[in-house]
Amino acid sequence: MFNNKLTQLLGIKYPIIQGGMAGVSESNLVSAVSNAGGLGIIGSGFFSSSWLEEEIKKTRSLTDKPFGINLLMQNPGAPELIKVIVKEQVPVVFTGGGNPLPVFSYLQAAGTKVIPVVGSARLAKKMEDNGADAVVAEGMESGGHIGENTTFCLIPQVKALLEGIPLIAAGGIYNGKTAAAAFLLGADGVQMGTRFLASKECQIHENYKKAVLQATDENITVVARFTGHPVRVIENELAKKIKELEEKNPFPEEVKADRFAGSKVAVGNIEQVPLLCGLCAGGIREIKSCQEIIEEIMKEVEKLVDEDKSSSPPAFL
Amino acid sequence: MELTKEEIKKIIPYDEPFLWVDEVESIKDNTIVGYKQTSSEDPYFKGHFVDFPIMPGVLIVEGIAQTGTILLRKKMGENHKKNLLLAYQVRSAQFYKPVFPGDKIKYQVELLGFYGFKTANFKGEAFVVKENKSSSSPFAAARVGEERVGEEDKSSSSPFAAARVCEVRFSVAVIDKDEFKTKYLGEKEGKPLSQTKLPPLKIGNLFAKIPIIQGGMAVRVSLHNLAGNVAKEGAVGIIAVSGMNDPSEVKSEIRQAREIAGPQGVIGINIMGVAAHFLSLVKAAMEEKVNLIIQGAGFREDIFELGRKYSVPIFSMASSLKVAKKGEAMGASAIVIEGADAGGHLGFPKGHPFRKTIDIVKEVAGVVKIPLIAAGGIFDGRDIVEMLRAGAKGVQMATRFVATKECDVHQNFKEVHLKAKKEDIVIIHSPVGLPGRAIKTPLVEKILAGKAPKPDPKKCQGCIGMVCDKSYCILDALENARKGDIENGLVFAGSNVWRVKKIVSVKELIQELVREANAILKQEPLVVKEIYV
Repeated sequence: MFNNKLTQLLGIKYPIIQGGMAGVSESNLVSAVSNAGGLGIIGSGFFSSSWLEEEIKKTRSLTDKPFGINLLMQNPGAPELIKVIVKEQVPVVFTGGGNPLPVFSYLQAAGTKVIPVVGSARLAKKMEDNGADAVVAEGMESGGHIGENTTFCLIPQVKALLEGIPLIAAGGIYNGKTAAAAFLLGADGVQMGTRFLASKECQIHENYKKAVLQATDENITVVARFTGHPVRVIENELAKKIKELEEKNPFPEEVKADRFAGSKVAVGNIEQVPLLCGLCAGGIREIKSCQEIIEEIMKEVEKLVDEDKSSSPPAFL
Repeated sequence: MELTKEEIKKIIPYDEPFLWVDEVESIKDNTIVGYKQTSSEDPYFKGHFVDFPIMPGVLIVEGIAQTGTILLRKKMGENHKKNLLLAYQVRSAQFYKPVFPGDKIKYQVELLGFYGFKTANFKGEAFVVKENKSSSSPFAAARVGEERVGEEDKSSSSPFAAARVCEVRFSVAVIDKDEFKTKYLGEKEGKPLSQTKLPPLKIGNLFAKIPIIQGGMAVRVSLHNLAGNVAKEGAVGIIAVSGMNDPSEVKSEIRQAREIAGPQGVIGINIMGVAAHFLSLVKAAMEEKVNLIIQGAGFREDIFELGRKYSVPIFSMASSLKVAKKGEAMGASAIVIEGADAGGHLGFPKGHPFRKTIDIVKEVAGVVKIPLIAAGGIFDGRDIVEMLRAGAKGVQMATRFVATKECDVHQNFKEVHLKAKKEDIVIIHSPVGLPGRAIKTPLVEKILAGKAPKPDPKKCQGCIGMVCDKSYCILDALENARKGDIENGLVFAGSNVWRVKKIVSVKELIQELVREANAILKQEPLVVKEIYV
């Protein structure tokens, strides 16, 4: 049943995408997701082109399945990164943090598919009109940089506007039920970041993973709205410091954008680094392998969607 | 030390009492560190607060901002002086701890961004680095045991946070001075502006650097020497021609005054409407190209036609809105509003209550569109500023100019002014039909008692023609006084003459008045439509 237009477009088994996470989703995680039948994405954040080239090579050594790159348009080095992507013939690029339209034709001419991540229905339609291969509509439940709409409201609205390209839902999806809900709302696939943060293959420090498991919906918060690029994180010393600063109505330039663009993989002292994390962490209680995560979800989705199909309409209809 | 106070003054356009940085310790990349030593003598401690002196938070913010502009001006390079740096935004300001008298404040200001040479964003902090141990403030005891800042770490987790006084984020707008003038100044915009110096007097083509008109004093009290010297100092000198008969005397006085005043000097005449030979005296003055004519005591409609013919502006004297409106309607260039504290003849005939200058000015300013000159009782710089605030463009002062070295009157006359006590100042009846303010002399006592000698018909010159009620000869009385015969003389003076204590030069007097007015304007600027620099 999940041989749909998204899996066909990307050449993957399951319509599950691992969200690009700068500093987090590198070759180990990416290859694990791709090997499990989903699509792993390297988060390139503010990294350099040489770093990206290295990661692509490492990923390729770990998987022969398709994978993608998440490209942050804010990164001043983005043009160099694109050169690497074209040279390495990466199958798909997910874009975020800025306007991707200028790079569409360049990437697509090289055979790379372009899937922008957007936070509103209007932008989703605009991307389709300009030739995007698919879109990720991301609700503000997600971790890291967020928009203003919620997944629950955003997906049906985007679905209503799009004419044919696949729609990937993101933000707050972490298990079978939330994924099934996304499909019911009209998505052709789901993208998950936080769920894969708490995976065996994810290379972040154990303390960070623990923080994700212990997080509740009350200690996940949004900081740095004043910069124009709000970021959802788990509360820690750094988040508190930023919140204190925010009370003083700071200038955007007082916080450097790259400081929050990603999490540091190997830092054990998790108080002074940004712990990017989605709201769904409150529902994640166990570290699992990518294989387990993907298969459990797909199994439950199939069950739930089948139930939905077989159930008879309510009496009042 | 990177910069001393004197060097700071050369960079930023601030001066005492509004310079809040004493020294700059360092300027590094985008950070500047400076200091301000407060003193219990600083004036703001006296009123902020009563019995609990602490430095006003806004002044600390100002100090941080001034320090920031030193850094910005350094960054702007050579041409920075062409620009004004104006407060654009105070984004936030936190105050953590009071600054007590004697505390030394350290400013640390960071330039966060400077965009297109237009706006600059700053973050600044103030710390108390050396507290005044002998401070007698109510907090002094409580502060014992609090951490003191010595070394300069400012991270919020450091113990020095306790001595942080203020944190402020602000933006400064960089504006080209010339651009600013065209954009914000000028009556077209009509925006309120602040004038911090005594503005010049500009009425039509008439321009005087100082908005003070020396009032005309007849008979022959203000002649060429006084008027010429007043004009020489940049104010307006007025020759009183009432009581003169010969047009050539008017011409000669104007000519001599001009010689003293120089080509830029503004010289006028004052003449009563009831004066005999009115037209011939006025014509003589106009032929002599007098700069203005002030006309009072008997409204004359015929002078305006002459004024237009000779291009001489006519200033009408008025003590009521009614007369002021009439002057405006007839074509006066300005109205001199004279209130009841003036000396000499007062424009309040029987049945018209005496009114204060400022009240009339305020009333007329809203109605009459031509410039107003306030007169009557104006004594010092504060009075001048008060009149400007009330809506006058300038003031006319006479009494103060009697006690000058240059005044053309006899020394005895000046002595009467100097010795006058409050109770010596009286209102008498003048044969003109108006009340007049004078200082008691033996003759004045007789006038008050109704025992003044009647005029001798054989000697009467008919100086004020038909209006004279012949109760005594005012011409003789005034002439006697100005020649030094106080016994038989009438010494006119304003109500504040008792405050005059010594004879000074015209230059000293004008400088004193300007200094007083500027000191007030510096603190409380005048809201105007056009700024004069």
